[in-house]
Amino acid sequence: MISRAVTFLLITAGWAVFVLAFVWPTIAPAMVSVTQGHSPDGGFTFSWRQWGLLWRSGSLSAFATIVCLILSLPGAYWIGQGRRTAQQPLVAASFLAVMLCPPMVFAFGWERLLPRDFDPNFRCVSVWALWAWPIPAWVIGAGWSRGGRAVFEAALLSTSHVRAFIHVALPSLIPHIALSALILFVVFFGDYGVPHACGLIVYTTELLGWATSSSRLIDVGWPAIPPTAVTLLVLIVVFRLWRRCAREEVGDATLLDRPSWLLQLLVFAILVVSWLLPMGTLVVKLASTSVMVEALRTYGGDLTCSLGIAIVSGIVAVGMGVGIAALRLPTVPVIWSVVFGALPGALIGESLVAAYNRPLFGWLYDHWTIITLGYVARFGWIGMAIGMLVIPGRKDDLSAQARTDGATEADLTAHLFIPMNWAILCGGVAVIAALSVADVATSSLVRVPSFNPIAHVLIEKFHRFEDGMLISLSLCLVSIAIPPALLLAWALRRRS
Amino acid sequence: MVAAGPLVAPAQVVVYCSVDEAVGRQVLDAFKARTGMEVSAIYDSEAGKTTGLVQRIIREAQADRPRADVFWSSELYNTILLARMGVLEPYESPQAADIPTRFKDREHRWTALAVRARVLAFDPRRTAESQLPTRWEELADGDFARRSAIANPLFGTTRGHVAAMFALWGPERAKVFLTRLRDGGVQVVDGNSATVRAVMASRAAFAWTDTDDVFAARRSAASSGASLDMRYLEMGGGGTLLIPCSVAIVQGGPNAPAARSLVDFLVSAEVERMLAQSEARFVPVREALRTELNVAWPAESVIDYDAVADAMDAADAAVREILIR
Repeated sequence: MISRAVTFLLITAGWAVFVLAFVWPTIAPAMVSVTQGHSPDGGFTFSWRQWGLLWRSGSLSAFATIVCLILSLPGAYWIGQGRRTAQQPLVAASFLAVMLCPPMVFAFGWERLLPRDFDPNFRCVSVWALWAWPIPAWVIGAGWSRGGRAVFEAALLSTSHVRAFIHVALPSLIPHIALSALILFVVFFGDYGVPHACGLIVYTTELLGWATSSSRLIDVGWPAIPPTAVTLLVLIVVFRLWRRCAREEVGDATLLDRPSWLLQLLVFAILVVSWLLPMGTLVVKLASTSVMVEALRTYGGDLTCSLGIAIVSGIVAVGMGVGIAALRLPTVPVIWSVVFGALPGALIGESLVAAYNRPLFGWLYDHWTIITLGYVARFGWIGMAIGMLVIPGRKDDLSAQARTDGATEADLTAHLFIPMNWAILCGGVAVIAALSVADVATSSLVRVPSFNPIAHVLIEKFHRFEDGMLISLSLCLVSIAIPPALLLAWALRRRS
Repeated sequence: MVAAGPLVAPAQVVVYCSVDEAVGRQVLDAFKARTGMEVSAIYDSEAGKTTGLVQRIIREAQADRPRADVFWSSELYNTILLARMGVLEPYESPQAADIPTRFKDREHRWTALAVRARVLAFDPRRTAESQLPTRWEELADGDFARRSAIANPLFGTTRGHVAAMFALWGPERAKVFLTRLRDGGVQVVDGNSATVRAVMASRAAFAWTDTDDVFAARRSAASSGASLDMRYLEMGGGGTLLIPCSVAIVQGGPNAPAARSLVDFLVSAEVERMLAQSEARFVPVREALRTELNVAWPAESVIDYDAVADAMDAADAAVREILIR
């Protein structure tokens, strides 16, 4: 009875959030556009500048994706080879901690580390790649662990290492590499903070400028088409690649080999360069601890609110994903959320303003709830993916057995899927929270008077050359990322 | 002293503020401490700057549910545009009595005070004084354009600066200037502070920026061994462009009496003194304050602020057509 009530609540809440974050913000802007006028300020054309910025955004993101994938290989091999990562909590925590820090913070560290005249394009690519490499390391490592290594070793019986890797192992890893590339490209392509911190104007920068300088939806809706099209194109290509290459996985490998000392050294070196070097630089540059005390005294409220709202957004997004997956009708919501994920953050913000800046929705628009909805709309696709991962389809062996034993769908959700996967659920919440804390594009449009999002405070401090405050707040964010990383690593170990 | 407010202070006031967050927070905290009123603020984001808050006010007015009580802007031209759209409420603050008439709206919809100036920033170790231009128009000449960095003129104070050129020089001359800037290879970057960073990183020799950006950057420059200076260029009409902050009440805001108390405070000599003594070093419009603080009034391009606001649409269109295309 209780499990039914819990599941019913989860499903109802999940669908309610889906309607609030995706459905109404799609319908309402369409209605608003009709009354506001159909023609953008610059007409239905794209300027050379827009094409140039799109090219810059695309090429920087693509380049960073490639560099990031290359950088991730030793880590992926570490994860895939030998013991499961879950049994190496410190390694797992190190990898997670990098991801849970806003990339902008790394940009500030690198800015102080590199010469002032270092090329901003290379700086941007380096910051992205050195921040995000744990993402493909996890994904590709999982593929290597589950199937890649087994087929590689089998192939070694009849061919050389190189041929076995190129002709057997690599094709088996293509879906994981493609998925990693997709995640990286989407994150880089929509990022505002790192290019901004590197002094670069990219398409997202310009789009956010257009969004904040016009009260007409079409003025941002029209220029949002090219980046959305690029993201969707990448998505389709990767999806097709995935379907072509996906094959049955061999299953969980129980490999106990220890990675070679050389590999361990390499992974350690990458961790040091990507994590300790920029953060260490910030620590060294922090003039005194009194600045940090002052930063916390002044911005402690904004920091707490930002983190609280980001965590709530993570919980809501993952809860929505689980609720929708629990009803086994996820196709339309998943596609909807993925399309929203492909939209630039500025357009999502505009859509939410068009949807909720109405007397009827004062309870939502005037409070932090609008920011939460913004984050859910932007990163809800991650919640959907987590939901689908946690609640498998009907063909799943374990749930089929439980059904045979008389368990209802509600029982399965409440007693099997959620308890079994709480580490993954927490991981999803943490990732969405981290992305939300770093978000600038959506929260520039949906802001409330009660607090100033910490990402905006950081950018303001960067622009006002307030190095002490900037470094203090950056280090606060880094410190805050470490406990959840350790907790997640511990949870993964328990799960295993 | 601030004028006496109501006996029972209203509980809350909402302000949309595009004055730098650190300065704005300090002033609003002082008001909070003085009155016990809860002040909630939305500061401008770097992406949209003042324009972002202006559009927010317009959107909320269009939806017939204004959320802001007070608009405290770091510039004036957008405030004039808001006044013309009828979204600002007339209020003649007794605290503004000693502000010169040219800094007050005839219909009392806004009050301006505490100015910054548009300046050219440069690194004195790389660029000698003798190599500097003396007029803004010279920046399109020779090698100056290629070595200059300018913020996107569709936003922020650069927008007002270009509009002022249109108002002073006339559209044809201003368009020729923009064309020559473009052809000369001027670097368009993301904001005034980015222009200063470009100079500090040797990616540009000259930065079109505001005085407060130079003061802020000097702090960082000193600690990193960089060097930065600025020059007031002649724009026509006697000097450079001065940009006052402005204060206005949003029509139909939820806390009207509290809004008046806050406006009284923000336009007071006390706040103008705080702004002058802040790191942004605003120049007071009150002569008595300038004398007290020993601050000189910069050589000013005397220009009608309404004329600049009038020119904004034409300037935006030209920038889109010529520079940001």
